[in-house]
This record gives sequence, structure tokens and C-alpha cells, in this order.
Amino acid sequence: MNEQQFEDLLDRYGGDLTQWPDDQAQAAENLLAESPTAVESLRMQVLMDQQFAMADKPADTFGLERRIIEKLRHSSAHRPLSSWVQISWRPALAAACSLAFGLYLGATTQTYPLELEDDVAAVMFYDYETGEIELSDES
Amino acid sequence: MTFVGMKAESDDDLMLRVKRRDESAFEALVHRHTQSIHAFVYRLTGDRSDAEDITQETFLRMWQRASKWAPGSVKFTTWLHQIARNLCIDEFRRARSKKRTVANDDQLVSDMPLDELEQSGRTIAMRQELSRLPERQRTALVLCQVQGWSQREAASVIGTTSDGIQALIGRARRTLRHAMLKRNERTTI
Repeated sequence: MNEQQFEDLLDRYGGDLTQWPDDQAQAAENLLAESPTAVESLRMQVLMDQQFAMADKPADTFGLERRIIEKLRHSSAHRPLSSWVQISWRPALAAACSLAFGLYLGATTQTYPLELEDDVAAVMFYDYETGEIELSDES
Repeated sequence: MTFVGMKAESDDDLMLRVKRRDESAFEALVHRHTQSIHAFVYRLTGDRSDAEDITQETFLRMWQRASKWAPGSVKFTTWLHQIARNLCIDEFRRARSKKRTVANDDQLVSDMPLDELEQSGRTIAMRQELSRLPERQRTALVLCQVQGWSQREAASVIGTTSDGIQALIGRARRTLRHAMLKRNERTTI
């Protein structure tokens, strides 16, 4: 085994040689006896593995859990349909009443045909010279 | 809360209730999974505040998308970690230029006793190097080596095969090892 092969196996199996296949672990032991570079690589991989194993202590997330639940309660995303109905019935009712009133007025108010009544017709003249307005009754 | 002799409800059963907008089921899932999601996100982002925000958002998305979840299609924890990972990726994109974690950690270290200092220094160095890894390598390493997931489970979160995970972990280990060896050389010169 050379240093490159050793590095490849270190990448694959990590720094615990007992987890390596037996024949490769034995070849690695032989290389380690004569290569300071391999020894240094193994030492660093072992340190890294230890670091990962102890990692960070799990954080106390009780407060976070409460905040998540509270956030959901205050978020509109979780609102059930009934609450949307409760919220929106007032404007909907107001719009419906206005519409009904408009329909009632339209149906009951008398309308007149559009015919020209020529008894009185006021015509407005504008005198460009004097700037005066004259109203004239043409009836 | 569980009682002696009473079997805890499975994640799948709770999710079926969440789909029916049952808040108590949502709360049960929050209590059950917040710690692991928070740990996962913190190890990916390296920032406690971001980790809390993303963890919170993960569960709210879970509630919003509950209708899309189908039992048997994907394990609940895998699905939840996928949501968390996507939110982390969004955060990486937003904060690519920011370098907050290092400063925060350095501040913490200044108050530590000497015997803890070397260990802490190594932890910080590891965290810094970890944060420089490509996201897929980092996620694979965190899930398998830190959280103890199987390669198959991790593959589902990242969207690759077990062999793909093996390759990602191998590359991550090598990059980290070389970076840490370089740091050692610099400090011993």
C-alpha cells in the first residue's frame, strides 16, 4: 500500500482502523510503520472523527418549541375555514344589502321616456365682443 | 406525553392528523423533532440565530405543505430534513457574503480556561473548514458522521444514491483533513 491508497481508504472508512477490511488494515499498519505522512494523516483523521463524535451538545430547544407552536397559532396559514367565514361575513353582508337595496330602487322607481319637451328651451348665447352672456327664451 | 403501556403515535399517524389541521398532532411532532432539526441546521449554518429561525420556518412549512405529504412515499424525518436543507440553501444564497460565525466564536473562546482552549480552537477550526465545504458534501457529512444516519437515508435527503453519499463523504473528509493539516503547519512554523 502506498500513501495515496492509504488516503483513499481513510476517506472511505475514516480513522478507526478496526473498521477497515482486515487485509487493508494490515497493509495500512505496515505503511504507518514507515511513513510519517501517513501517520500525520491518520492522526488528523482520528482527531476529526473525535470532534464529530462529541460534536455540540444538543441544545435545549424547549423555548424554541413553544415559539414554533405560538407562531403557528398566530399565523394565518393554519386558520381553519370557520374563522375565515367569521372574519369575512360582515363586509359580505354589507355588500349584499347594498345590492338588494339597489335592485329594489331600480324595480320600484318610475322612469320617464326621453322625449324633447319644446315648451321651454333655454338657449345660451355668448357675445364675443362684449363678453356678456344672454339667455333667450325661444318659446 | 406517553403513558406506560400506551404506544406512542407514529410520525405517519401524526402527519395524517396534521393533514386534517389537528394542532395537537403538530405540537407532538414539534416536540419530537425540534432538537434534531435544530442540531442539523446549526451544523450546516454554524449560526445559532439562523438555526432557530430556519428550524421554526421548517415546521411552519411542514404545516403548510402537509397536504402534499403522503405516507409511504418518503419517511417523515427525511421529508422534514429535506425542507430544512432547502431553507438552509436559501439562507446560504442570501448570506454568501456574510461571515458572522467566526467572529461570534472567537468572542466566546476568549473567556475560556486554557485547558479548554486547545479543544475549542480545534472545534472552531473544524467548523470554519466545514462551512467552506460545498453544501452537498457538508450535508452528507453532517447527516452520516454527526447525526449517525445511514447512507441510504442521507441519500434520500440530498437526492442521490448511497454510492453518491459515500463519494461526497470521502471528498469532504479529504478536503477537511488537508485543510486542518495545513492549519497545523501554519501554527507550528
